[in-house]
Amino acid sequence: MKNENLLEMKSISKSFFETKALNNVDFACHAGEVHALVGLNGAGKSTLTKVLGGVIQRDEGEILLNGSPVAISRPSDANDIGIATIHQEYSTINELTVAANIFLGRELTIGKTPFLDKRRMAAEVRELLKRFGLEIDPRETVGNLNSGEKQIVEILRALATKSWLIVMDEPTSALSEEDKQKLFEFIRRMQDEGISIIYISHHMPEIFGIADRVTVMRDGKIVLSEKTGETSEDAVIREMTGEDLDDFIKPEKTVSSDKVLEVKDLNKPGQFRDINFTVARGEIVVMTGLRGCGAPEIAKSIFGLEKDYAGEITYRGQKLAKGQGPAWSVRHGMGFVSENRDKNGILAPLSVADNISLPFLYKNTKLGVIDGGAVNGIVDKAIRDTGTKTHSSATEIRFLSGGNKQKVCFSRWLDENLELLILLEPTRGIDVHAKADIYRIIEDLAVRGVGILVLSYEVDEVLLLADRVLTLYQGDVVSEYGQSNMEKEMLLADMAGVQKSA
Amino acid sequence: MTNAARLFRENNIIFVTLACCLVFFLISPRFASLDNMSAISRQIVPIGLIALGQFFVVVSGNIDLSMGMASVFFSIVLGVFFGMTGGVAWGIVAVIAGSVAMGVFNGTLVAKLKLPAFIVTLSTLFMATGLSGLIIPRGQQIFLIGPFFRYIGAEKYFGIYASFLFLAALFILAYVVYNHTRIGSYIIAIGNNEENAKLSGINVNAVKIGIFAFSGLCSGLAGIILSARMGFVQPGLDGNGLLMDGIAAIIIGGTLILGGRGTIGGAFWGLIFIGVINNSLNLLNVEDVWHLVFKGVVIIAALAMNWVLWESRQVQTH
Repeated sequence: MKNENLLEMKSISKSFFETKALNNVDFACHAGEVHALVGLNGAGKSTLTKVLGGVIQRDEGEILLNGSPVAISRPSDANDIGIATIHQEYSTINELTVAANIFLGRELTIGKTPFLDKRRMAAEVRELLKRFGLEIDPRETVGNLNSGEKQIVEILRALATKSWLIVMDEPTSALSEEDKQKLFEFIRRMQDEGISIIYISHHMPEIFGIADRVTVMRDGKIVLSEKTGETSEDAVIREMTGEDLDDFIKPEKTVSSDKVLEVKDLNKPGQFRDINFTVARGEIVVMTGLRGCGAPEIAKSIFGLEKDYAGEITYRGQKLAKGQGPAWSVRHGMGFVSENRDKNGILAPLSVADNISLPFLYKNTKLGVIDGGAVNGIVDKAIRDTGTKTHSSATEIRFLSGGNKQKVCFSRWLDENLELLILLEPTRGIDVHAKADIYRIIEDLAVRGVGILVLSYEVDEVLLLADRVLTLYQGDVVSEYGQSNMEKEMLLADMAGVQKSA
Repeated sequence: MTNAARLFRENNIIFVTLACCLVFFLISPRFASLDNMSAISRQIVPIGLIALGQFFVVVSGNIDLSMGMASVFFSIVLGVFFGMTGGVAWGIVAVIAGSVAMGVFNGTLVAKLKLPAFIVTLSTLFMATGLSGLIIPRGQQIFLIGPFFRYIGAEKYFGIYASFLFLAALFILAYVVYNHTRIGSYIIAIGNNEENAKLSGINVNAVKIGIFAFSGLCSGLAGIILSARMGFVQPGLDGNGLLMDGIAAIIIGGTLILGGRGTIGGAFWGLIFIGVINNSLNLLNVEDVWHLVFKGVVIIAALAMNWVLWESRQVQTH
């Protein structure tokens, strides 16, 4: 049965206190349409999808399904009419099997007995997987799947409940290149079945690759809604920012010959092999590759989080003891920004100020008591320097947007004694505007003479930031480029393990 | 990975238990006698009931600290009814109704009022202890003699204690419910991520209250068996020791104390392990104080081994 549903949202408004998060928004999604929804953080796209998903209530306006109004006052109402939202944090249960997850809450039993019909559930899941050309074992425990597969399980669960409109919030942010391609293929198959998808993303190539229509939101209003064939990446970006994007331009600077970090013959079985490189003062060295290329493990070895490696790491002329630990590293001028901001980066219930000052509290104490004045000074300066948007320094950090959280993570390392900063995926899940701010902060630090080692999986970011780039493939450095000979296609080929005909 | 290695890894508690048995047998051949095996099977019944009730609570991400002292309290309730009526029927009805009611009380506070299970059940533990002392002043006891207590305490079928057969049947029932009905999936889901479980349409509150009602019932049943085996009831019984043995059994058996993971088979073998340790340390005439020290050491060693094996599995799968 082909889905012929049409969902319309008419004149939707929603205010939070004084702010109009949604201002008279009209939005529609047709059967089998992939509809990209874009906008900077705070533009209103998540408020719109939350209204649709029944998580928050609209103040004004109506939602129509095939022309007749529907009431969506809680998430289960949305599910009942076939709307499902796939969040960035997957809601799968790791300890249960794929089939158990897909049937959670509506298990099949043998006849009228209370006993689960595991065979029939597995068979139905297999059927579903086959329909969409996917390969996952229904009996595998979800905890053993990678994030791409977990996401697929999550989507299948929605499809198995006869959902026909799937809202995906930044679905590719945690996926490897390979899994992204699988997801896109899956989306195309769903489209063929008449499933509609609202696709929230910041990535222009993705949007123009798979979406039929793109709608841009800015300040709670829809400012553009066009078929993707009838608009352009530039036009979308222009509407998102409301101004021509002032491209981030790499500043001129001189890289010193003084090496802050030297890595020699670094080896860890199964992770990386024969890694040799240096980072000079003021230099930005970027490691790139596909997920699983071994780069994060190298970065963690340098910071002292891993100790089971062979080889030598020399930092400021001093050979590091293996697994020296973050405490030693921080005291000796190393900084580290984790790839998992919410888990390893911020302390959610603490204030912005506490989050910024934490690593350097030890320096600002008198007889063991924290020197509040000095700390406040550092915090205020850090917020100013990074352009962090927060109501006050006492605001709990969990209320900030992704980009601002990341700026706070950076703020911790603006200390004048910083010598080497290690950044893992510094702009993951951040909108274009905040990205430019982050790049500026990185460049400012480099100009100040800090050596910077970045891990990035985004080619455009690599090209923008790197003074020198190392591409890794399955634990080997396959190429090294300087600014003069860096080319996008070469980088992509190296990352993907394409053999060069030398 | 070879099959033997996988078998060892996933069922290591069995091998650890068997290894301990071998050691104890070498030290004291009397350990392996049929009489002693039989004694172990009877000793572990109250611990086993606590472990079984606790298992579901822990997998759901909670804990029930009241179970030990509650079983002492309910053994006293049975004793009081026995003293008043000279029979056990009303006592058993009262124990079952009372223990389920206590569990529902715990569960409701945890589920509906979102109070931490640790504090709620710690409070019920205090109440059970206090009420026990109120009913029978310390130093006094009620003797329980009669066919029912003899049956529970000493009746055998095919040379196996009836109480152990009862426990084994309960474990099998629990295995079926946990692995082959939706209740098991729901408990695991709640222990993994309560919010997601709720979004899947699971009635989380009902499941939680049900789990605590069952752990309450298990305390009541443990109380009945305890009273029959001892032949008397008094408030000074070491209920908390019982509770700790029960918790240790399931944790050694691979249940994650933080919830979300565990197997009934593992819990059963953990129980056998605890039973063997308790018995053999008695058998070897280890002094009480040292008994506990040894027990602590052996449990840590078993857990460390579990952990090492678990870690090695993690590496293997990546």
